[in-house]
Amino acid sequence: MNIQGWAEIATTIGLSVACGWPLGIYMARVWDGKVRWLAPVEAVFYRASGVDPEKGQSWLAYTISFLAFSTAAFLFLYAILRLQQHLPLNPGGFAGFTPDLAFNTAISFVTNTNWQFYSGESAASHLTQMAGLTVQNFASAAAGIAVAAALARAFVSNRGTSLGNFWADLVRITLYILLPLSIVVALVLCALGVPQTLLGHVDANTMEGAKQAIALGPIASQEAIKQIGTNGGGFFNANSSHPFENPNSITNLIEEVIMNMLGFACVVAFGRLVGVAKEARALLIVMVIMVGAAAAGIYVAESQPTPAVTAAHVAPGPNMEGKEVRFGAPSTSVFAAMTTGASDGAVNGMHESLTPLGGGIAMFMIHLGEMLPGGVGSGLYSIVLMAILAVFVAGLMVGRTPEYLGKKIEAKEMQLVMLATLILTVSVLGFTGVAVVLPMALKTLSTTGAHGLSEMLYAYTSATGNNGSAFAGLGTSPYLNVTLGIAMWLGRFGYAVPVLAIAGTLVAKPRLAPTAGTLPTHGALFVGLLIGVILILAGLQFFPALALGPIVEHFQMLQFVASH
Amino acid sequence: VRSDIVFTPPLSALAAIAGDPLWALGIVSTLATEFDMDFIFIAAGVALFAAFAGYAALLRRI
Repeated sequence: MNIQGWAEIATTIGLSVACGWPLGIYMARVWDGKVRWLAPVEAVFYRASGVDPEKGQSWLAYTISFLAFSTAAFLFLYAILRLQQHLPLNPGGFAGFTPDLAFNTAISFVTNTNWQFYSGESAASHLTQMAGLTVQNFASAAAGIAVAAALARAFVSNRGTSLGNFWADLVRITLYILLPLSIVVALVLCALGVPQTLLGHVDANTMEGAKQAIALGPIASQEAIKQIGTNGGGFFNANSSHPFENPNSITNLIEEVIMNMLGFACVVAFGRLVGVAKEARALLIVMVIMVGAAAAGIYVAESQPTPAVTAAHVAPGPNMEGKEVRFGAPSTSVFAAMTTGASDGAVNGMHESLTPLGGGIAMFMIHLGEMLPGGVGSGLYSIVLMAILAVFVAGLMVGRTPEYLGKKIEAKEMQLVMLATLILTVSVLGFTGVAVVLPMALKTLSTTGAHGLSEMLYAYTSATGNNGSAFAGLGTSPYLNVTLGIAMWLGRFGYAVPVLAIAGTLVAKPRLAPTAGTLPTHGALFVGLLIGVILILAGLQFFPALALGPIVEHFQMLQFVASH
Repeated sequence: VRSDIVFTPPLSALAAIAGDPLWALGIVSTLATEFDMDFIFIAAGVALFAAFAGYAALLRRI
């Protein structure tokens, strides 16, 4: 560990917040329908689809629109994946995906997960990458932000019924936020050496005189939205550790910053739109403290020489297995913490090669609920649910009816909060529990014991959390393709549908002024309470599984040293 | 990275699409030979989403 490493972690997180803040102010104006500089373009979409953007939707209509759009996106992407060998822009001549892999990949990109059981450079055509995967990177991110905007409007409303119009939100968020940002970032990445071409590959002569085909494609455009939309699915299998996705330390910093930028911006936008800037700042502080603590924890773990290396009397240094020498331990640590806190899933090093504690922290970040700052939109609505839970717990302690941001929290909201929260546990632990006793699932593991359990637990955690990063080591199989697909679907819609139902109950309630009995939700006390609720909830659910995986593995590693 | 491999003009993409008219025939062929598995996965995907529409309707009763 050194001061440079700590400074890098602080700078990266600080820059993310600094960029997210003004963006959040702008985003609030987009949510409010006040940004209309592309109104003629908007109108084309509305006319073509027969949508009246001024017509408000109830929570159920908004939810059905969200689900219908996701269904259409699934079918469209599934068709492209299956038929890519017959479609244009396939210079590599790649075959279509198998049905189970197409099912997994289509759900993966529609749910903003981007779990990849394929190598993009050797399996996906340019058309698949551009018209299939990259389009879904925009669409799934916009849909997530739309749900967050709907929840924000529920808090603004005073005995209302409308959460806004899903289709108008989708168009405006894409046109005014995601597209402009992606164009700028793609051009910057291109200037810094990330390729953007329709060539399939170039041939290089190796030192041994052999020919090597180096894959190319429209990488910069996909890289930009991959990080901005917290999608995480890379053009290459090696993701952001590949030199064409992430050529140097400047692109690495840009990718880290933009990965969290919109997550923080959503919270600022929420504060502006609802008129609760101080309360939103408290949520932001919780996010920064927790993602900072995770980055610090992983950095401490990864900066130590592994006990096995020490026992072998090799010169001590940080654990560099699975890390890019261009980036080193601090960059990998902060990237790992931010990608698991942000529901992004991109990686610039292999998470399986992290030390047991480093990998365990990364996995626990996903267990915490993907809200630090979480996926675009989904991070905001997840932490608002935790805030509702926190005021409910506080209300129980002092014997008052809980309120949050002027809305009374009653039994109905709490039931919906618990439905959303428990779906993650059921999916992660249920699917992992079944997989570790099924031979057809076990044979996909590259190792056994505690590390094998970590591989399986991480896979279902990542899928359910819509993160998409992989611990690696897990082989593909129809069983995993199908069950991980279902887990991704549960993690996205099992959470978002109750969130919209909560928005539906809150929108109809009167907005109350704070009284002497209202728990302040902007101070240090609430920040501490919220951190406590998030940690305790995730700890109670996932600590036993973590104890059998990374924690046991850590002690096995120490035992190895003692025996040598 | 060489500058000539970094960027391809968008018109080249359009030309590539227009120059391959046989792709529609391939789609029909694939659908005809492998429709059974596709039917299962497409039906499963649509059913998953439809189930959540039903779930949302149920949540109204809470």
